Amino acid sequence: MTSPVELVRAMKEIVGEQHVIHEQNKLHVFSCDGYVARQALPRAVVSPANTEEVAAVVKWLHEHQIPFLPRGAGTGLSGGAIALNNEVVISLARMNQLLSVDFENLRAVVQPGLVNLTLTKQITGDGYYYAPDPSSQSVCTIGGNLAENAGGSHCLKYGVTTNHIVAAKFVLPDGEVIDVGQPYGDAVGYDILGLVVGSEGTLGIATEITVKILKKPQAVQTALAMFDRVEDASNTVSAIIGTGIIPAAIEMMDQLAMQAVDKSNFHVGYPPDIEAVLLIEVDGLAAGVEEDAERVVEICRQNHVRTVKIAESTDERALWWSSRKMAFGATGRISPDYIVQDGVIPRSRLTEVLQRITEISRESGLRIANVFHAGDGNLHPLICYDSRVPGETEKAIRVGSEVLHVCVDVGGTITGEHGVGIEKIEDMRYQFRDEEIEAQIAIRRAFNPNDLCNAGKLIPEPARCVEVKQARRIIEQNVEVFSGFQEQTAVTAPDSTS
Amino acid sequence: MLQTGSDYPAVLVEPADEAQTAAVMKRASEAGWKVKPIGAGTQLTGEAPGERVHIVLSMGRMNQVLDFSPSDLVVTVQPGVTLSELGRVLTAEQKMLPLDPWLPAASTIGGIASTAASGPRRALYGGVRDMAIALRVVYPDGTVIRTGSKVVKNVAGYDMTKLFVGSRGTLGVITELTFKLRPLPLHRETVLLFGSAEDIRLMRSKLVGSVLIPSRAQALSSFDEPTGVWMLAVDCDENERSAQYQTEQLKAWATEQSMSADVLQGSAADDWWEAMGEQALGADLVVRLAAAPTNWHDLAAKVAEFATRYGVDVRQSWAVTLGIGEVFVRGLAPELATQIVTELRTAATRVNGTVVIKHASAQVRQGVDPFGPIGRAGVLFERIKHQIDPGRTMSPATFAGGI
Repeated sequence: MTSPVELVRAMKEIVGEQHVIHEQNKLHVFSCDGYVARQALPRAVVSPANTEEVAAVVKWLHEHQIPFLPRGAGTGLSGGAIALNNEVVISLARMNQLLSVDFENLRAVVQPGLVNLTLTKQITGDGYYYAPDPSSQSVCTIGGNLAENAGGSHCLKYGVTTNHIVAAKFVLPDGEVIDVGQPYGDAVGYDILGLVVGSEGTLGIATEITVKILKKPQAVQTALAMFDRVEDASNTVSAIIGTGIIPAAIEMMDQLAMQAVDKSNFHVGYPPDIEAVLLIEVDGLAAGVEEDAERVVEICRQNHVRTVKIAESTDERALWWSSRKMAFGATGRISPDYIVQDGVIPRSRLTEVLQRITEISRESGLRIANVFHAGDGNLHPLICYDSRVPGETEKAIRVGSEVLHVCVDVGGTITGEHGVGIEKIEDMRYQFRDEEIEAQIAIRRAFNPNDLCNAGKLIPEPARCVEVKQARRIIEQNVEVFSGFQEQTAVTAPDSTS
Repeated sequence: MLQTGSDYPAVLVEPADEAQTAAVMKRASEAGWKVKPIGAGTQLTGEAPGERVHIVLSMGRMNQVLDFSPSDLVVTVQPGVTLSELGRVLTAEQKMLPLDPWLPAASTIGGIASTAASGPRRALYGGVRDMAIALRVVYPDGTVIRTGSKVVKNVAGYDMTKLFVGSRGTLGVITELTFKLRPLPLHRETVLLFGSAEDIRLMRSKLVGSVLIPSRAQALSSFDEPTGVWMLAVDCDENERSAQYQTEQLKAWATEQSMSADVLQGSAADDWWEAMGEQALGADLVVRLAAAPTNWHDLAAKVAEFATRYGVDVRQSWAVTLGIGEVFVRGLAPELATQIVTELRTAATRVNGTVVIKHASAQVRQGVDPFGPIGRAGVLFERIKHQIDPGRTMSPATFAGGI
């Protein structure tokens, strides 16, 4: 066993005295991320300055069999950066540089700690931007976006993080540094980058990330449409897409969400008697965008919109977007506590699923506000509860799970962009069969054989694995006896219980 | 007919469904038989020669479109559906899968996904990895796994879909694929610009620095044209007014550079692209290069210089906003084929690019690795292969790094 003193000394030798936090009172900041329902203290927080330091830290921890996990801004919503095993947290916050930009080839190379919006701000003067735009983009990091395969409001047209990251320098859980992906064209061989993006820090740590940058669209038009009935709003979404226009974004909020955002600093003044509001944005060449916007307005009218309006100024557009992007935070103004969920459904099932959510809300007695990326069918039900009422937290978690199961039942998924982390790890079993979970564990084993890197996140253990684990423990406790045929036992153990 | 790269006789098995596929795989794994899944077999001439295969598993009978939901922009198909058949089904509902690799019409969607084949439309829409959202895969031991989810956004678990896309049948047998779709463009317009490679280099620079939205931007040198004449084809999938604006801008730049221009619309544009793809099919050697787009011009010059040096018929096609080029060579001796691949690889590697063979005779592929160096991510290839296919049942030694 490595003593805490040895650990801290070794870490300080690699990253420097001032970049290691180990005092209990200072570690509390790192006890959770954007998911606050669970907390755990890391044994230390280490902030390396570059790839070499990350590799050296990981190598040392691997050699001493100490668990670790990477952390960006800590804004993740599913608990992926919580040190459940008292991991050493490797904070990428210091690695926040834009390393290079190549406008002619539409690429930027960034360190993982660079804030998403900062990248766009640094290239906006030249007319470029980075497309994925999670609501937290003013604080979340590109490294965190890579780990979570973050989405955002504009991924209907432009795709999610995995469509925008093309290559990365990647530190494997044993400290080896590899290159994944290819800045142009395809990487030769298996798409390792494809596995790494969205792996929630369980396969290793990206230390240099090459992303696509895009030219800013010449023109943007944004419409705000208010509907008496949710069904009409849903039909509008389908009709717009059916007509052949892919808007840059189509966002929807229901009445409760409107009430919440109107209590925030961004007051739009939504009428209290409408059921749904749509925020629809089209972009492209100026010559054609106006026509698309007119089309959108016309389709809203055909679907019984109460009022529809095109933003007259950038200020008005910014207000509408701020109102939408503040939705999660604003929920705090109508409820002491809330859980934000992240299911995805086929767009055509929207009305039906919203009805189910209303029923779940009524049955449980908990209010649910709905904010979502309607174009993608990505729902964010905000389940309101009061943690001071005994049992209500558990009830809210149960309700969240129920909502996700509805999404899976109609052919969707439990998470579209927030990740599984620890929050939805049990819901994975609802979506995937045991052998599918086993197949994902096999991938983790290929990268992370000792399971030191963010263990216990993303992929649950298959039911039968509990027995296997017991067998493994016996093997581990009797290493000398079994060491002669370790490989054989590794192969036979799972089969013996199947 | 079947170019499996193997001199040994193999049994051709054509499963009717996933259950049969799984049963075949289970038997093969138990018996130690090596299995090679294929689609229409149009891309087998791009693989490493590989080890002896006992079973060639043809997915051609599994050729149904299983589920098509136009309003969700999602389609689920069996692997044996041809790209052209799928196109017909989607077009009927004004939708498209924007995959347009230059391959024979018989090519199947399973084969295209397994090789991650892409074409000019990748410029705007991305490749197979960007469109495939869910798969069903039969593992070597007969286990059936679902990857991803049939909705357009999903981050539950590892993105296993991407692992199987482009894995060339070395990990499992794909039995079902789900893709996200795009609306068929409301208006189709292609601008053709003619000039020297240098003219096109300048034009590319203007295009990339502009707000224009090219859905295809392909620089082509032709077998038929005199040496040195190039053409840049730029598409716009936006609405008519936007397309007009783009066309006017391109024509204005053409005038500035004294390039001639031509405009094709609607089905004339479609037919033109189809003809381009067909022209590419007769080549003896097809090589794909990729590097930073600003390097395309230097690499294209290397290719042209080789062609002049040895007097061979070479045609080039470059996606100039992506930096992906395809070189089609006719009437080439195997020794020269090996040499051109090696020379191009040296040139591309210098600028951190890659060169892979898409099509060549078995003799050529024995002389030079079709895939080339695999880089440091290669350490994971063996480990992943071992986790999924420990018995090395699937297409052994046909892929990059000897996988």
